[in-house]
Amino acid sequence: MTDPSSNNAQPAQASEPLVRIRGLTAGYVSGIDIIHDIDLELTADEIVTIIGPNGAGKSTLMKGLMGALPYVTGERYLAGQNVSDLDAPRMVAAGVGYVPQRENVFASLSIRENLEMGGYRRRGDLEQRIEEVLDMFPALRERPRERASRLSGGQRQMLAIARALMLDPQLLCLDEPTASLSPAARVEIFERVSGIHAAGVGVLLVEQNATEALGWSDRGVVMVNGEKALETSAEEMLASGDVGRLFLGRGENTDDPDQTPAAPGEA
Amino acid sequence: MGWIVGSIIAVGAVGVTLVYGILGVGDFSFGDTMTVGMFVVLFVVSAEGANLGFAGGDFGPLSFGWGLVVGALLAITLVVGLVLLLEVLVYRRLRRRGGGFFVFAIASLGIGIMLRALIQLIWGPGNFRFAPGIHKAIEITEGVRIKPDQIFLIGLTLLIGLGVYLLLYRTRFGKAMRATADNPDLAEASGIHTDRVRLGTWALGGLMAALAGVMLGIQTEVRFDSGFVLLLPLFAAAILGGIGSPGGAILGGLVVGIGQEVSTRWIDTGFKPAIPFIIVTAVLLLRPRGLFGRDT
Repeated sequence: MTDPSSNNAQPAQASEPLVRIRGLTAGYVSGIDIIHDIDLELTADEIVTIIGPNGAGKSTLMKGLMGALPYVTGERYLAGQNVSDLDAPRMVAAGVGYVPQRENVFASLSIRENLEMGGYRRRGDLEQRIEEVLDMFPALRERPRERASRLSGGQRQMLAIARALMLDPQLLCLDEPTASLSPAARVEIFERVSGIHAAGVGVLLVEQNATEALGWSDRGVVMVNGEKALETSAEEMLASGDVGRLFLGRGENTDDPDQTPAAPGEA
Repeated sequence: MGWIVGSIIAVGAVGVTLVYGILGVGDFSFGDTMTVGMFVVLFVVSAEGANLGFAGGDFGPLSFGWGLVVGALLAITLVVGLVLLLEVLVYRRLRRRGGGFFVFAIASLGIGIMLRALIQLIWGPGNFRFAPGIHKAIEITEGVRIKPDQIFLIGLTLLIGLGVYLLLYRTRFGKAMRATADNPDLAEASGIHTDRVRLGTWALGGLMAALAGVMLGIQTEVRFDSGFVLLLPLFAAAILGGIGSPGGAILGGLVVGIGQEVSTRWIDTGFKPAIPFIIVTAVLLLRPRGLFGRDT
């Protein structure tokens, strides 16, 4: 590493961002990288949203940050600690909550058991934390023994986020938390996430509902073809004509807001 | 009679169904690991064991005594150890290299053949018994006679079933096993080390194999292929009950065991092994996910 900014010998300082990623490269198969050489920083008082076309590597970036992929290289720091070698269970223990895009609840387990699994690493005060998390999501309190598979899409997403909060994370990573939800349910999710963030948790979002997500965010990152194409404040991104036309579904021939144009060279 | 064979099949099927449900693989060496357990007990309770001072007296009307208890504990220890060793040396490596169901099935089948051959090499092809001699059956009601051993076996099966249920639904580790079965990636993302859960599952499967082996040895003759002969009925019972469901496996075991024995009233004993599959086929046609299979 010749980058002078990556001076690991320095102790963690107050100004140290919550997350610092340097040269993150990751993929599912050796030699075939999905994301290349990504740098990213995030502080605890930010909501950062990653947008971009399908297949751009948004989810892969999040999984790479979690160490949840077979091939991950590069440096990862959490609150100044080097966590480059940690796998997913250890990242969770280190203070990162992660909600995958699909199958993000244990469908055959009850609501309560889902929360217990989220708090698997907690000893002693599990009950207390379950109560605290249920206070944040009162709808989950009604039928604690109900199987998660019986929940509606919105409730399921709530349970998934509640599960990820069980260990009191410093950072919450949400992979498309509003995918295939109704507009009302989407707003509810964003409101909850915003509330969690207000309590001091850094939030990293991957979103297809880009315009809406950026409206709740401080910063936006555009991924194209496995690389970071652009990073600006959310306001600037929403105001930018190019980003709006290319990634937010605005413009001449993009009547369908879900239709994001394919990036050059995309498979 | 069918209740007894059914009980033994039930305990083995619980092991098969747990391994399949949580690890997603069919362990076709299960019958032979049962046999390993049987021979460990045989070693302890037979003459060699007697020389070591293990041949104990009988427990009241039962055919066995402390020697069998010591043998069973040793069998459990060794079989669980063997299965864990196989997971670390073979199965985990196959899984990490992306080996699918068939790779695993063939590997475990091969391991089963090796274990069987090893036992035959040491003990030869003969028939052995834990306890020589004849044990009298007692009459419970008119016309229904049962050996004390058999009451013990049925009782033990129910205890094992209850124990497995409590483990899976009432303990932290059991819930983690169900979570891993449901969604291993999400289990990892919840901070659960799924490799440890897999080892625990294998240990539980090994425990079931050892117990089923010991139970089989109490009931019948001990041969190098005693467990292997039960392999297909074990899978039939697990599938019948709904793969992954321990309660279903116990019910499936009883249905298969009783079905086999009852069938001999009408058909030649030689066709008995086909009965489980006729039952399974009939049930699956009506209910493709088995009696207690999951909805999803």
